[in-house]
Amino acid sequence: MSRLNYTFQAFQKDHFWLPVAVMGLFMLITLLMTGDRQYSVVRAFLGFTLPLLAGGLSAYTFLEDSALELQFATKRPAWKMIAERLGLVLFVIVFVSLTFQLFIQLLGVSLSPLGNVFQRQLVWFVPCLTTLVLGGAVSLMARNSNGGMAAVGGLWIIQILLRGWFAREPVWRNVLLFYGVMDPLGQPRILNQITLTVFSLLLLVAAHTLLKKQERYI
Amino acid sequence: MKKFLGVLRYEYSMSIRRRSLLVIMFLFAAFFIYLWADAGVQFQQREDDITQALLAEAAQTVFFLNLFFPVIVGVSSADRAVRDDKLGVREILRSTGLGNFVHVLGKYFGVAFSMLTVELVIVILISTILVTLSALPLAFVLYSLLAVMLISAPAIFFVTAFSLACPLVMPVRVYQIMFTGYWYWGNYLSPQVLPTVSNTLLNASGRFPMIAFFGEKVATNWASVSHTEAVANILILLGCAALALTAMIAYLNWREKRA
Amino acid sequence: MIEIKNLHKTYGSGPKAVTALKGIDLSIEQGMYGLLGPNGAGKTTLMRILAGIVHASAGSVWVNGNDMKTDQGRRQVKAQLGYLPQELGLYPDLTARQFVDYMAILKGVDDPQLRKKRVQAVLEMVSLLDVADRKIKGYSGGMKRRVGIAQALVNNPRILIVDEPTAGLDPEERIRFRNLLVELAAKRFVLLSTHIVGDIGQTCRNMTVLSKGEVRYQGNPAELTQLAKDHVWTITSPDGAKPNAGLTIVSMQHMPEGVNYRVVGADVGRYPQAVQEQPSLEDGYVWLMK
Repeated sequence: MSRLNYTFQAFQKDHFWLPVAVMGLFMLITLLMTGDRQYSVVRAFLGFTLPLLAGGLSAYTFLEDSALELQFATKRPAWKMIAERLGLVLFVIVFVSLTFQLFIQLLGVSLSPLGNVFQRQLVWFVPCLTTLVLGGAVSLMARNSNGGMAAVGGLWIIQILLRGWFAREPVWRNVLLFYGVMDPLGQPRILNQITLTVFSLLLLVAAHTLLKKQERYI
Repeated sequence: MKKFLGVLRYEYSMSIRRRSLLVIMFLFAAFFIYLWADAGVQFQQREDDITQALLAEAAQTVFFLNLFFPVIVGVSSADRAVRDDKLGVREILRSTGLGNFVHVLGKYFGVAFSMLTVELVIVILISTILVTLSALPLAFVLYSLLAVMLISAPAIFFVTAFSLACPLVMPVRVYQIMFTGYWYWGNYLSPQVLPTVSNTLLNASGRFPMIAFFGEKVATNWASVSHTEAVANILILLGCAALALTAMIAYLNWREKRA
Repeated sequence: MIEIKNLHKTYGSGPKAVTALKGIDLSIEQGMYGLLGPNGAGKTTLMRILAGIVHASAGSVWVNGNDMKTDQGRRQVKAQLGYLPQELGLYPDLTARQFVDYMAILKGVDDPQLRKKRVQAVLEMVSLLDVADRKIKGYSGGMKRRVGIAQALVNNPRILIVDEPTAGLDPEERIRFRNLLVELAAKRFVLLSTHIVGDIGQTCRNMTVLSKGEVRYQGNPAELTQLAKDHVWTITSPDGAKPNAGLTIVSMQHMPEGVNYRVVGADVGRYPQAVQEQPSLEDGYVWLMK
């Protein structure tokens, strides 16, 4: 526990306060809205904004470590480092998402259009997992955090702007980050969520292989 | 002037040399070409006014590229100013007598021109492919370059200025995430969904110049735009960029006085 | 025992490839061992390979019976390693105590009581106890270096690899740290890489000089010093004119009678006023590198 605490204090403070600040902003906007527009804001936060936050933060989680060479000189295996760093970002995203959902429940906004309790968690969790691993893996691949962020940012903006095209294409919709939130009860979302999860796992394996090559980053 | 050109040349080459970012830019451009090819070329149906049709096509091509390209420009420019502090270069530069005004301007134009170069290369590539595949007149390449200057360049100059200035007062990653979100919210989101500036003259997507100068509307519900409004849109974006740079210079001067 | 055989390391590939190490053979026994060489000689690469951070391109490295080619071997070595890199990065928002404690956790010192004791002990060793609860961002360069030394020692390592440990330390601290290294070397492998010839001369029983990725000398500092015997001179130049090519000026001093040059070279025939001097380790190094 103290390890996570130090990791957090050492270089990931904005990993916490940025998602929390954005959540606060969306809470405020929700309060200012009425009726169906409240639900739109909830959808926008959970399905569209959280994946950007997850990917953007994870792009910076490995290489912006000022004591990276010292970290590499310890016996900790690469998978532990990945689990610790990405896990911390994911933990914050999960915390923010659940807090936001609790707030929405208290406001009395129904989330039933997003499916049952389990289904509505998948709507944000799966795309967050994908962007989370993508940001980390591309930054390791590019040996540059900016590269990871550019990949996440580029993918996010292209998919959000062309989401209609993606959703209509039977093949491409499976890699659409936002398909789950766009069609939360439709059958194709299952394949979409499976595909995104498989991609995440493949990227995780790639990130592990890359992080083991420590000399690339010092 | 020599100092300004020296900084500009250095920043240009440092910015354009980043292989990983170039690869990412070209990968997205390749995807864009795929999408374009998938949608099919509608050009042959509009032969009544060939010049107008070519201009409209060129404008649309650049406008679509502008959907994502400035995001990558913003993300990749964000570390350019803060790296001077990170690498300890700012202290050395200060000892040379190079003023913040010249340094910031040199850096700004160096980074902005490097991004513009990449976009020009992508647009030349795309338009050449279109000319070859669809037997369009060669003038299409020139029209595309004109479209870059009027539709995309103001956005690049606008985005680069903020991407240099803002990370001086906030973590780079925070800026990059917020900027990516802003690009969608401030340019493409309908005001009916959330309050936004996308329908104002602060829109940096290139929609205003595209409609006014090239007569092209991507969506039928878009309102008409006069030449004056389009010019005002470009001037406002450049004015905002100038303001951001002025604030950046003032901030650096203030920081030096405090040090 | 550290055994290095025919070690090669190349960074990159194709025409841009850079060869950092070219067929190094070394055998290092317990105690203090010095690595000396100019910038770009390959010292840091060698240190990183021994620390398990960089992989060798060819050849073999065995540290305490662990093959550094394997993941298992590298992990075993890292478990007994204290490492101070040349370019030391710290977390500015942590205090020295927190930072050293964090590194102790990462190094597997899991018992909180033991960890607390170790952190306290190493902070005392490097004279940082007074300021241990201040954030690192307020530290001077020398203090940061001392935090680096403390973290290297916190797990009581069997193998200590220190790259330019005394850079930025004041003279007193430098002497204190040198003595500390010698004490630690009684029961450990201590590898010291430095540009400061004096540090090696004062502390190491054995040493290697690397140049352009190759071993130029292997032996003890006294023998290296003796290489320059009969080749070290003082030449006094009344008009200040520098001794010409073929002689390396090691130092110069302005005196009332002119400029005194201490030179290393084979032939001082053109300077009848040259006075022969006893060589120092630095002279030996200069003679070797000529």
